[in-house]
Amino acid sequence: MFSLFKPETKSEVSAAPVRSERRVVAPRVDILETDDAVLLIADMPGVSADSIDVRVHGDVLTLRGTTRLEEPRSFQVIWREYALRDYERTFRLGHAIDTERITAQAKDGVVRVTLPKRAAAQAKRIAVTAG
Amino acid sequence: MTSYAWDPFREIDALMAGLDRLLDRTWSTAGSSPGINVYANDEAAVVTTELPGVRPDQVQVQLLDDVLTITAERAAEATAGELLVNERPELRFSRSVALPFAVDANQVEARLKDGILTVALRRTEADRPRKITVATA
Repeated sequence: MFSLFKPETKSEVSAAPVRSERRVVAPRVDILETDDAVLLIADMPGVSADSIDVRVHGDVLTLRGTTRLEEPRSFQVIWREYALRDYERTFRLGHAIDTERITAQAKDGVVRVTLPKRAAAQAKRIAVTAG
Repeated sequence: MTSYAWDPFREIDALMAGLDRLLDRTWSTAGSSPGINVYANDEAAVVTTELPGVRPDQVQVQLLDDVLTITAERAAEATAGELLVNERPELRFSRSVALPFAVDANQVEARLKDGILTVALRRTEADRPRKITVATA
């Protein structure tokens, strides 16, 4: 059976032509806020769980995603609408975020960063009882 | 030890990349609708498209003669909370591409990985360029 999908091996990756720099674009994001966290959802096609890089410096969060995409070898480009690229975007965090507990995951080219709020910043719900 | 000879193309590359970076940082955001890339050689064609958040069961790939149609839909996020920023578009995608040659409908492979769909198609034997050996008289 004809197949263009070769198993990914280390040697193949290192044998790839090295480009000095790749394009870097800002991913499109949705940001949601719940009582106890802020959720950042970013479209980063080509990025897998092991190629996400989340850093916090002061109140600035930097989200990076590196893709290991390559043009199919021994093929000519007939039509191109998107360039192979990496992603990077920075966000300013509010005081309420507990930067020690930030987590990130990637699935199907979508990265989700969970930014938990500090306990003190969470709105307390006071139970109202009928008297 | 590696020695670096002066390579003007490397310098131009670095300059262009630097410029790209400068512009990207300021203005460039990933496109709102998925793009398609088409690659080909004498034997095969490869079509790729970016479909972040799309699962394999949400994509349809159809071939009619030499026209490939890709249809995809992204399920709405099952999310609770207040939406503060909403840049990610609703994804309802349907695109057709005319392939550069006739392909074998029985030898099409489609794979979705990390939000990138790759469709590999094989050119029909009859349609391939043939090399004719020239014999001496």
